[in-house]
Amino acid sequence: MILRCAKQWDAWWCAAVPPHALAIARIAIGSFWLLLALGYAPVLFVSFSSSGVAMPLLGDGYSGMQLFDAPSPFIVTVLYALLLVCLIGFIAGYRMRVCLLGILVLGLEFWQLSLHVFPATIHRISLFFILVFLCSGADMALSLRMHRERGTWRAWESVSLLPQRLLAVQITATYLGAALQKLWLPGWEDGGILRASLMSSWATPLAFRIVRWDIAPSLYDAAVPAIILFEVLLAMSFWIPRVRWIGFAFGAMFHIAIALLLSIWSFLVLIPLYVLFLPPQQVAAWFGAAKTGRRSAQ
Amino acid sequence: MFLLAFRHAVIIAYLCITLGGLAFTLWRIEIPLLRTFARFSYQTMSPYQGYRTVHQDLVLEGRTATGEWETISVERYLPGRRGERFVRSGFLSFANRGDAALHAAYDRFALRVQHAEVAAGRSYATVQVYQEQWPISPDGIDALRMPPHVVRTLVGST
Repeated sequence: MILRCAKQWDAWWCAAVPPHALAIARIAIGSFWLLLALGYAPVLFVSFSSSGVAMPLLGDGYSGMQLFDAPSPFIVTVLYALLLVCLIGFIAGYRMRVCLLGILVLGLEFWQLSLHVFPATIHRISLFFILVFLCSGADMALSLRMHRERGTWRAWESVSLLPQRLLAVQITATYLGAALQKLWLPGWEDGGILRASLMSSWATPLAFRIVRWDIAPSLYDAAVPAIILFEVLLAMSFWIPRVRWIGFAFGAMFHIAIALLLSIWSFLVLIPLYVLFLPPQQVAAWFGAAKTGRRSAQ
Repeated sequence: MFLLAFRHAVIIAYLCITLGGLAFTLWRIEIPLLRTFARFSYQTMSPYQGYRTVHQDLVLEGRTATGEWETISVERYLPGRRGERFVRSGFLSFANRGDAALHAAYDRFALRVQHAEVAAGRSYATVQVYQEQWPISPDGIDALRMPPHVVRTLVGST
């Protein structure tokens, strides 16, 4: 009995599986990071260089190391170009680990130069993804690496399921934590937070239009437990095959609504990452991988 | 065998850290051994904890050679969406180090702005950084950004 449980546990976490879901996640989050990085291009010097208003967290004498001071515009340009190259390499699945190390080091540098004054959940999730991808075989499908080695974009090799499981569990934890904390947080005692959010600095013109409808406060109050329940059910639905796609659809609508009402679009990246909850064989079948049988020895 | 043990050690460590993160998120319980990692885990699952009933922004003013005060565009130095600027203007990562560090950061910011303005051909003898707060309103972000609603505080200067 114990042995059987141990085997099931091991298979659930570590089975050898097709890497296509992980590869899609690599392309999705890599593209998101690239878009994020490109968004900073117009303000590169003002935000990150010594000619602008970079506010290094570890520089300016804080750590005693000049290494962390704001660099010159030329150095910032070089670092930024390197970051873009690493991001493109990661998305393409070319020298993935080297690119990820570059993304990690350069990302931390840009973070300590300026981005730290904007603490964001998505930055922490991104760091976790980088660490997991570093130990993954996300470049074993849909990658330049496999194309170079095998001569076809459809080539793939089995990988451990562990990184995919870790990322999926982390996404679940993010939804669960975000939901359950609302049960005790003082700000979430009533619907005031929802109404105030629609008038906050994050609010879009659409949100202001909605708040001007003068909806009864009791409706806002009723929406709070509904949102908590929704987020908990959402996190659970991803793991239940029969309702998984419904969960994906509601999750997508949830994040699109947040983007439209609060101009917080960074969590849209979670939508393509839902692929991590699908059985790897199912995702591989989308690419005809199950039929082509290009599985190498495990 | 070693690889198998290592893999499962990683899984168990991750689960413990995530449960530690959840425990801190839900009950503010900290497990000493896991503190650093659990705090990181907490930060991945704790978005949007509260709200404020005021907007907040920085105002930059520079004194010219003639002694007049001119407004310097804050968008030039804190670019991005209004919400992002709201968060950035609080300099939270410096505030976490205490009031002295926060004020030093605002002073440093004022100095950087002054240097950048000089480089752009606009010379100011002094640059001051104010923080403005005003109430939220259904009529828009800046609807109540006017006297008597605005509270202005000097937070840094060169």
